[in-house]
Parts: sequence; C-alpha cells; structure tokens
Amino acid sequence: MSLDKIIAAGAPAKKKKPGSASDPLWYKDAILYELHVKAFADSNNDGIGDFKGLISKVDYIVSLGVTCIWLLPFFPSPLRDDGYDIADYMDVHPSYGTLDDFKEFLSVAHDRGLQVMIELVVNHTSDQHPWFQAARNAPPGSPERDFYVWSDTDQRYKDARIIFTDTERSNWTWDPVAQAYFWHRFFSHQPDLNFDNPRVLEEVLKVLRFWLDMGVDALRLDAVPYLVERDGTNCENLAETHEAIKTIRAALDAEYEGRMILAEANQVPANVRPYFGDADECHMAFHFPLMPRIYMALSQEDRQPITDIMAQTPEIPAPCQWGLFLRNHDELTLEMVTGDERDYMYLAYSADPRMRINVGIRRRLAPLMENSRARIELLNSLLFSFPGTPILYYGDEIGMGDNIYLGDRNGVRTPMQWSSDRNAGFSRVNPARLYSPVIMDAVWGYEAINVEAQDSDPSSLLNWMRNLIALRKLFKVFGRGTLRFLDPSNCKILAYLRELGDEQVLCVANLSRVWQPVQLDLKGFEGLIPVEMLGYVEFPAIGNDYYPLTIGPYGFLWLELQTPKRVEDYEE
Amino acid sequence: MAEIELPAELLNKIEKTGPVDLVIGVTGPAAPSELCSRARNSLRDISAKTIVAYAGTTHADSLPCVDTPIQLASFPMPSSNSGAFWLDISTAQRSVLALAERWGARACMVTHNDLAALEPETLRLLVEPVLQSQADLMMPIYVQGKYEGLISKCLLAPFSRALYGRRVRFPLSFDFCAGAAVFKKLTDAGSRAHGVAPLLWPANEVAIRGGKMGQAPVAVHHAVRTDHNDLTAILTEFAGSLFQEAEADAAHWQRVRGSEVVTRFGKSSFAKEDSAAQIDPKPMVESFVLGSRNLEEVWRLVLPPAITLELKRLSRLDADNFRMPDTLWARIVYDFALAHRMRRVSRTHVLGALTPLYLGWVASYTQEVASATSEEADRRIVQLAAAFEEQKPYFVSRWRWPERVS
Repeated sequence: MSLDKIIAAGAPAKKKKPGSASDPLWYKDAILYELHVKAFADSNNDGIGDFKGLISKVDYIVSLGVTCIWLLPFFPSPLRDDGYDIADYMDVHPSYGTLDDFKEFLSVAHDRGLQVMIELVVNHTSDQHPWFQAARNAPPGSPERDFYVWSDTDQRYKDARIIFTDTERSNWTWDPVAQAYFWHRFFSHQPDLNFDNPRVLEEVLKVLRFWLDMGVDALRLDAVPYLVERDGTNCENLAETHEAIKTIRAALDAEYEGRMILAEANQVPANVRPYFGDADECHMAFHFPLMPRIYMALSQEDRQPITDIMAQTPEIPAPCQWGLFLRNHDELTLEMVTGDERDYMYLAYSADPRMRINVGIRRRLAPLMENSRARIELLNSLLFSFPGTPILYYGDEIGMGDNIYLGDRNGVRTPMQWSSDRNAGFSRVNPARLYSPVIMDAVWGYEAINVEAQDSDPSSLLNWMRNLIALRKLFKVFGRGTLRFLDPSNCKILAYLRELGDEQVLCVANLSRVWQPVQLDLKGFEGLIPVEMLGYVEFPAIGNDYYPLTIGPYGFLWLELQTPKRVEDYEE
Repeated sequence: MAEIELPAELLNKIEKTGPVDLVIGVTGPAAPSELCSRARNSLRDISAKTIVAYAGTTHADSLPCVDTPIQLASFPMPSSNSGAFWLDISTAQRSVLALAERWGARACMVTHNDLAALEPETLRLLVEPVLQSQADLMMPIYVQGKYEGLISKCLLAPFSRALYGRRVRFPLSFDFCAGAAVFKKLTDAGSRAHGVAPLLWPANEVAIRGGKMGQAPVAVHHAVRTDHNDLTAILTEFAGSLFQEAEADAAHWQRVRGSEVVTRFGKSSFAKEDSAAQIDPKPMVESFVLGSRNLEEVWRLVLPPAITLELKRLSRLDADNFRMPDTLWARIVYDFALAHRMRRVSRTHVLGALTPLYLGWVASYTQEVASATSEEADRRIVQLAAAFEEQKPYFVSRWRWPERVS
C-alpha cells in the first residue's frame, strides 16, 4: 500500500482537538519534565499513583517552570517492563484511572499552559496484546500471524546485538503455541511488530490519531532504530525503518498542527542524524552519548569528553532539536562509549556492582554526584545551557536518591517525595501496599529530602532549580542558538558561546573541585560587557587582551554579552 | 483577543462601505445625535473617509449623519463581566480596534464615551501623525495639574518606561490612535496570559514589537466615575495588570536597556497651573504609619530587610519632615511586582499592602512640590522616572534570583 493510501486509510471523521501550543516550534523552547503516573501521587490510596493524583500536582509542576510533561507509559499492560509492554494502546491502565481521567489531566495541563508528551511504543507489544495472541494462534502466512516477526530458526539476524544482556540470551524466543520463534529486541515477553506488514503501520497510525485527536501535543517514539530487521545487518537504523518513520511524520503533518515526535535512538550522533531526515522524520531526538560524557568530564576534571562528542555531533535541520538529559527512568546507558570509557565510568560511578545493570548504571543524579550540591548545580547549568531541549526527571529537582536493592531499574522509579508525612506524602495507604517502597535512609530518605521542606527553604535545590529554569526561559538563545566552544589552555574549564541574533551568552564552567583561573579568547567581542545572568552583575568590559576569569570549585558563569548602555539625557 | 460577533447588518455595512481611512471608536454608549455633531465638528480639518462607531444598538440608518462624509455605526459591546473599572474600557478598546481592522481602516482612534476628546485640535494631534505614517501609535499627554494623575505619574509611567524603554507619559489612557500595522498586535495583546483578560497597555505592546510611537499634549479632562473611588481597588486593578504584563513580557524587558524619547507632536509645554488649594499630607502620612503597623507582616514578606528598615525609619518621622526617596519608592514598586509574580502571598494581599506605601510617596511628593510650578513638578516626575530606570538592574537581579537579597 502506498504511503498516501496508508495515511488516508485512517483519516478520522471525528473532530480533533487542537494542540495546545501556538508556536509550531514550541519544543525548541520547551523544558520537559518526565514522570511516571504511578510514582507521582496516589489519589485513591491504593498504593499506586494515578491521574487524579497527578492532576492534584499540576500546580507544583507549573511552579517548577517546566513547559511540557512527558508521561511514561500508562496503558494497560502486564507491567513486566514498567509499562513498555503494552497490551492495549488505546486505554489507560486501570491502576492509573480511566481514559476520562487522562482527558481531564490533559485539559488541566493545557489550561495551565503545559504541553503533554506521551509514549508511542510501537517497536513491540506485550505478549499479552490481542494482536500477539491472535498471531500465535493463527496459521503461518495468515494476516494475523504476519503482525509479528516469526522464524523456524533462531539463526536469522545474527548480527543484531542483544540489548538486555543481563536477562536475554537471544533475540529469538520459541513460542510453543505458534511452533515458531518470534523476534524481540528487548525482553522475551515483548515480541517485535512486523513493520514489513503495511497493516502494522496502519494500526500504528490509528493509535497515533487516537491520542493526537484528543489533543496530546507530542509523542516519544520508543526504540525507534529497531523497527525493521534485515539479514546481514545489525538490524538497526535501516532504510526501511526510516521509511516507516517518514510515513508516521507525514500523517502527523497532514492532519495536525503544532505537534511533535521525539525519537529514542540510543546511537552515536552520526547515526541519530538520519532520524531528523530532511526535517521530515522526527522533530526531536535524544542526544544519548552526551550524557555519559558529561559525567566523565566531571570525574576526570577535563572538558575533552564533552567537546569531543559535541565535535562529532552533526548539524541538524533548522526545525529540529536535540533532547538533552542528565538522568531518566532507565540506567545511565554506556552503550555509546568505548570499552575503556565504560570501565572508567563503572569505576567512577558504580563502586557497588548492584549499581550496574545491562550496559549502564542505575542511579539517580544526586547519588551519582555524591549529594554534592555544587556538582548537581554545575551539571544542571550544562544541561540548561547546551543546545537542545532539557529534560528533567521527576525528583531530580529536589535531589531524590535511589534504591539499588530494588530489581531492574526500579531503584530510580520510587514514589515522589512530597513531604515528611507517611509514605512521603505520596499515598495514605499502608506502606506495605505501595507499588514500591519509598526511600527511607538517613541521607536520601523522604524525611530529609521532600518537596514541602524544600519549598519553604529559599536556598533549597528545588528553589534553585526554579530560578534556573525561569532564567533559561528568558533567553531564546539557549533553545535556538548556535554553539561555539572556546579553547582555553586550562582543560578543566569548559567555555562556550551561545548566539542567536543579538543574544550572545558566554558560559564558563569549572569542572574541577578547586578554584581555576582561565584566560578566554573573546576576539570579536571587544567593547561588550559581560553581565552575569543569575545576579545581573556587570563584569569588566571585554578588551583586546585575553579575558581573565577565576571560577570557584564546580562553579559556573552564564554571562550575557551586552552592548554598553546608551547614555541619554533624562530631561525631555 | 477581543472577540466581537458583529451583527449581519453591520457586516453588510462594512462590505457596502468598503475600506475607510479612519475609524473613531467610542468605548461606551453615546447619544448618536451628540456624537454626530461632535464628530462633524472635530473632523472638520481632517480629510478622511471616517466611520464613527459607538457601543450601542441604535440603528445607524436612522441617524442624522447620513448626509455627511461621516458615517455612524453601532457595535455590540462585549461584556467583561468583571466589575473592574478599566477592564471594561480595555475590552471596548480592543473591540474598536478589531472593528477597525475588519473595516480595513488606516487608523483607529479610540476615545472615551464622554466625548471630551472629540475636539478638532485633539483629533488633529492624535490622528494626523498616524494617517501620515509618522507613527504607529499616538498616545495622549493629558494636560494636568501637579496633583492630578499621580498613579500614572509615579507608578504606571515610570515602571513602564523603565521596563519597555519608551518614555510614554500615560501608558494607560482613555484615548489613543493606532495605525493599521498595530491593530492585530493590540487586539491580540493579552493572549499570552492564560485565562486572564488583561488591561490593554497599547504603548507597552507597541514598544515590545518595535513600532513607531508618538505622543501629544491634549487638553482633555475625563470625568472619572464617582462610584469608583476606592484607591486600593484602583491600585489593585492598575498595578496588578501592569505587574501581570511584566511577568508575561519578562523575556523582552529584561533585555531592554535605557529608554528612548518618544517623538512629541504639538506644543512642548503641557503642564497646567493648579488653582487647587495645597494638599495636606498628614492624612496620607497617617495612612502610611498605620500601614507600617498593620501590614508589617506582609511588607516583610515582600520587601528585603534593608527597605523594611528604611520604612520603619520613615514611619517615625512627623508629617512635615516626611520624605520618601525616589530610589526607595522605585525599589518598593519593583519588590511588589516581584512578590506579585512569586505568589508567596496572595496577590490581593500584596496589592492591598501597596496602598499605604503609595500614599507615603504621594505625601512626600506633595510636600516637595507644594511651592513648585506645574512645570517644576513635572520635572520632579521626570526625575522619578529616571530613578526607576536607574534601579532597573535591582529589579532584574531580584527577578532572576529572588533569594539573593539581604
């Protein structure tokens, strides 16, 4: 079936709700806040967060200053992969509420000026999905069977790597009902959909329309490099996969305005670049390799890991944008670093083997920074000043800790810590019924770290984050401007210029634990006055010589380069 | 944005008439016969195809202007249902601008329904520069005595000038004239704020978008409704709206440095000599002192310790020696704008707590200018505006990092 026909086949007759953003490039200035419905707030005291609870916390999210809420999967699911194993794409998991609850949340969020991004997990389904149940019971060659990737042998696609190395031995699993192997890039209970079958794409577009018609603003395309498989390849980033994404994007553009799709492609930047296409695939894509290199640079007290990866980052089409993050719901992935770099990261950030999972480290930001406020602030200053859209993981704004004794990646998915009340104010249920224990130890426990306490403390991390977010939002240059690294001789200093029209911002960060001097080559900016942006303090004007600065341990400066104020007589 | 649903009759009239040069929109009901007479007189020196629109339902066809180049049209007045004084005016102003846009007009003069501005000289000064493309927006400088219009002079104007970088004397006015290039900007103004219908600050909107602006002295005096004389309510409406605009426009005004003189049309002197008796500052100082006792808790939440201390010192002065420095007043206004944004205290409480401070500044000002001429008093107001501008870095700094203040 042709692309046009596929798009036209599902064109809805019912009325669509418009997206909430008026600027079609809203995502370039956005600040995303990623959260689990189950982990945020429990309104009915069953121990599991829900949409009603989330609605009650929208004011908090607004107060943070973030502009878009990213919801992790909330669909019906056996929850063997935290909801990424979907059993019904067009409903809400009963533990989290109803479809009407979701609509109410969407309406409340939009009323408060927030956009909403949800997950489009279409590489695979749960093995409980009716499609898979039908497929395994249908005869080979039938339309139902053809929704998934089957084989009589487990020797096909042998060049494809295994992603979940801790749990999976093969990407093929024998299904005794179907009497055949089925293909899965992730867990064996997550069979991959067969994108060579046009009916699969038709169904995907129906799902997309279902949510976009409701007014959802953005979709995160999960595991997007793995949609299509071919022998003799590593089954990642194939041309046919890009064709499928183009079809999805074309449907989006044809029927909706102001929406966005974001690619989850854990690849090196050169391989991610094609996911933007000629601005005809994804609007945004995560920059996965930057994140571990930020941690590496900090640990090594050397800017090179960051400047190296940014040098390898290709230009992207003007309407496109990188998604940047320090931590998320998964492990701190080390798939895109070299073996030596991976070993270094394990040594530096996961002394206890329980902190590791698959090819990564399952810890939150604050524990990774050993609870150093200065280091947390420094990393956030990089996140919020690098070219791209920053994504904040729930709880990191208050420096929440993790629980490495929980299985899988559940240690970073514990209940949000709202107060020092029972269950951290997350739920009034008997603690034994919580979907996950709250963090309770002396350093990271909810009695020490919670929203209520930090809300009332003007110097708290929470209020610092609010200020930083508000500051970033004042300057479009951060979301839309160019990046140019300076090259001072002191390698512990990371200095870069962000420029957009007449907005020029100089960012300087000290990656080391002690004071550092630096001489910056600011040729071309002579006569301008650097104004420290947080405190609005004027620094000496830039002259013809190197510009000297001294930065404290893990300190950073954002300096707006201003033209000298014109002097006019006040008399009129 | 002002949404006005025009009746079919009016739409037909717009289509039949075709594009016009000028729409004069009266922001309230008016008697058609008087309106026609005033419009005919005031437009005698302006050669322009003109529609005079007013809020009401009287059939235009039955009106007495049909034989003149001027045509009358009534338009439905949208209700803001707010009960707020100026919000109704802003809503009507937006409606008039939307009507002018629909009519394809080159210029739109909005004016109060007391028709006081419908005078030949006023229209010439405000309309001609727009019709002649010398300005996108003409604002009035109301010729006033030294004790008149003090909310505008000591708060709205200096705050607007410092933030938006244009030296406009009356940023919130009953009358102004806008060019076609800014109709949409002005009708759209406020759509940034979610769910809140704000006042229309035409000069600030045009400043944000880099339009050409002018201002002209006009000898117009509008009688303010006597049932709306609660100072706190007025301050709450005006300052609350301005602070809200500041929040929405922060990304713009934080990058504005200094201010530009706005081109003046008409005569250069515009101060009116007062015949009024001297103002007694004592009741105002007493209000300030009372406020310092009763509102200390709110003031301490809004203002940094250094300013609170300064206010304590002021509260110990007797009325004759009471002087509030411009720097202090500017910082107070900025701190209240910040508290309004931060919402640590309810906005109603914040704005209510500003009233005694305002009275303190007025008490100080009235004593300073007691023996001054109106022109000297006007220079005093310009000096205050300069202080607001000089203190702007304080405001930006506080805005960006509210915790870092001692």
